[in-house]
Amino acid sequence: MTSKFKPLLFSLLLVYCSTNTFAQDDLMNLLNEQSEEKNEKVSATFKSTKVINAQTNETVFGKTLDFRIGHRFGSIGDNSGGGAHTLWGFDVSQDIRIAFEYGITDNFTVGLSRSKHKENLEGLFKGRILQQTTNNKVPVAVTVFTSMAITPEKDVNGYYSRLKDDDRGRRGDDDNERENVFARRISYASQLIIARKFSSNFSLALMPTYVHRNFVPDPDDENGLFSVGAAMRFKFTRSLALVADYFHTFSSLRDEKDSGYFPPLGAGLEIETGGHVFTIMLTNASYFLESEFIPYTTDDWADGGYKFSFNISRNFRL
Amino acid sequence: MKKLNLLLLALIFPLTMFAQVYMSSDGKISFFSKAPLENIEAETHSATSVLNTSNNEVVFKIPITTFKFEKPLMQEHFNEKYMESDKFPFASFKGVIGEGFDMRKEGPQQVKGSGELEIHGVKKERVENATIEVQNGNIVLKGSFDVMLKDHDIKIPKLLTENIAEKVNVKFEFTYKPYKPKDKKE
Repeated sequence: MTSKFKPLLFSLLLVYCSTNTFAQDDLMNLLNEQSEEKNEKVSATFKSTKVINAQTNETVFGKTLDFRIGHRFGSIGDNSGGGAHTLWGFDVSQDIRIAFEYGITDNFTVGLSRSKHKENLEGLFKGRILQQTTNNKVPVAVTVFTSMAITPEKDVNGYYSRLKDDDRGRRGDDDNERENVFARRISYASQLIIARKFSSNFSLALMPTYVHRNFVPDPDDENGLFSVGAAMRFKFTRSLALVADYFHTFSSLRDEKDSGYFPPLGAGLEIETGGHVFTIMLTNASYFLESEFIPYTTDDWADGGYKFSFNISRNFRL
Repeated sequence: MKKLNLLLLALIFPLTMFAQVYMSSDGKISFFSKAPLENIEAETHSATSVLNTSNNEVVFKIPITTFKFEKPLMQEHFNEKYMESDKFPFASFKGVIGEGFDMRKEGPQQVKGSGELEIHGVKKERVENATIEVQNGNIVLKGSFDVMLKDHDIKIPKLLTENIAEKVNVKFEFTYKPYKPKDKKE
């Protein structure tokens, strides 16, 4: 062999050695090549099915019962009926809601609830339409929510009945001549929840909502109301998050100055303990149901009309 | 001279480098932890591993989100709160299977695997026993070991120490087939 081939031979030998010793990093690269890009559904955009007043895009897991208790105390501020004489609202319970929400599958929830306010009995349905994916092919989660509420309360104000016409067309004027109008006791809410988890700590949601009340006491009020809600969650430790939500309702009556109606706004702290989610918050809304707090929030944050409130959610695997 | 060139060509022909590489793409990993209030169990069949029998090097890669739990809420907490799988999507092991593994031997062989175990972004040197067996040209590797959560900086809230154990027992089982590069894209 001539000497000029020696470097060539040596370098080829080097190449041979380097290709044949398959380093661990090469093995790892081989694995990385094998695994396709993961396209997973984003989970835990919110930690519970509700933020404060608003629904979230989350549904209850399949075969799981979410038992929820919510309480709204009275307004804290003096000008809104609070102050020392009601222990800043703690003597008052504006509304209490007890709800059972059951996940038929991971994507479909049905629920029943009972509220103190108007003794409303509510049936609800929630279903996922889209789920955000980690590769952003689906950038947002979309969930539909719909509920119907019936109030069985006593007809003290004559809201749920009307005067009977007698057979000569003359309107009767005493209580015995009133007839019940059951439909007036019913109200509905339908909502689309569009949510995105921007990072592991921050999620936002937008909620176009339509509320329909079969009966409105104020003749100037509209039976059907369109409202848009916004909600956010900011997680600052593994178990603690700041949450807030807000609704703006498109209503000529509510747009009027001094209408007495205010947009519901809530902010609070969410504590997640594994199975339980506690939310403690302040909100000017008095009631829980969409068909109640969207049309009937009559307390003003600026006037001390915010109330201490809490939601508790407990999940049971059935 | 021609002879030498041919010989060199044969030596560096790239196929030779895959001859001793074995791959497993549906490795089974399960873990179990026993706590006063709750046993926690999960399993995945999506772990991958490559074994190079020429130098006994081995790597494992385990996608954390593929662990399936009986309770879906537990799975969500596992990923979101404890493993932080959006930040650390994989657990891995890089190491070697110690001396004593002989491809030509029949029956199970006891081996020691040593290397670097990475969980929750924290690396830890480990030496663990495992069983390896050659079956019809495939290699089966299995074993179990314990992981202390605090070794990998996985924090359990004080409130939940009754629910979550400090020590988790991990079982693994991989079946390797000879790796052919052309299988890469199925």
